[in-house]
Amino acid sequence: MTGSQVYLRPLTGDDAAAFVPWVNDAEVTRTLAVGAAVMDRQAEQAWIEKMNASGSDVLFGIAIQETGRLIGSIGLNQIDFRYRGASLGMMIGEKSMWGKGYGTEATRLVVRYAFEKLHLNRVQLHVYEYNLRGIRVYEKVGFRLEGVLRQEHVYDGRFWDTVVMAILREEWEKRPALPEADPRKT
Amino acid sequence: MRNPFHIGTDIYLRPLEPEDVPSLTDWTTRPAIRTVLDLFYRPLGQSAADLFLERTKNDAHDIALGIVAQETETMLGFIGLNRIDQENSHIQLGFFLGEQKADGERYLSEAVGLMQRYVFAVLGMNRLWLYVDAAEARTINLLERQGFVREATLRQDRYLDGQYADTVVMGQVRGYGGD
Repeated sequence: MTGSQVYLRPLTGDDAAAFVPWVNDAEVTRTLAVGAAVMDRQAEQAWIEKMNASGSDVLFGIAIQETGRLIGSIGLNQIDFRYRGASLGMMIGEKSMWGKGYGTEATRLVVRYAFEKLHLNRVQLHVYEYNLRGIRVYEKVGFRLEGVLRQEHVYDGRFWDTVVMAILREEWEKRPALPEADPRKT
Repeated sequence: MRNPFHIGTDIYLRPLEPEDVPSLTDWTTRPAIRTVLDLFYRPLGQSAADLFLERTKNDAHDIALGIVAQETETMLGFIGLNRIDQENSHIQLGFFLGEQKADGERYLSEAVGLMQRYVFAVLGMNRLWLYVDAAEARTINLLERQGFVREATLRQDRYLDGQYADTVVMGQVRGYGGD
């Protein structure tokens, strides 16, 4: 799947090396549900292979269009074809790539994949209350706040709330069209 | 009382035993309970009880207890805990009443109260939570009276009888009422 700035591609065991520094970086993992476990290359490789073999998960690498550089991953988990729902999870591991709109574009691509390819009805996600950047990204894509799970997550020695957000197929279909790219910038 | 694990005023909670399978089979094949247990989508007979017992016993952290009336020694239903998250200190609650009796709500409140005390005072958890069908207003009210808060409504989260249904997440945090 290709956007204007990033594209999504399958991940293989060979990509594990790129992930190891990311998933051990506290600044990156503070927004992820990975827990306190130390991840080595083998564990990361096993995780990628497990996701690829799973019938209820889809995992993509996020890469920059211009350079092909891998900057993170995004995926759908707990895909339930009976209820037509799934949970979304994303990581931009390359910190120098934060705040550039790549996460927003990757989220749009995966949500479109969920509704148009997998024919799902609902995509939900959990985001920690302190991840304001994440919340803004998901709001921009059209996710709506469904509630707040109080003290659901421990980080840095205290409890934090977890925000539940979701987008339904009918909301995705009614979303306003994205503004056309400015021709002067192309 | 036989093997009581928690003792209340009118009920007690005890571990499930092989001789409970007939009751569980009867309950787990009833449409309303199959819906609660998410077992409704395929035909099940005796195996429903086995599936249910297996589901509640396949993890060392899962706890499954029968709700038993003290006076008559009748098993009224089930209450249990699963999906323990030690790192984030929370656990999920689940229950159903197999026998619909006039005193059902009172018994259920008592069972929920015993589990709340167990989760916060014995297991030392910080948070207890559960999913409830958004249409189950009586259950939601019962839980609110027990100190739970309606925290989220998951829209069109399940598909039942040809239409989508919402699910409510109810949660209770240590120190915020009831525990």
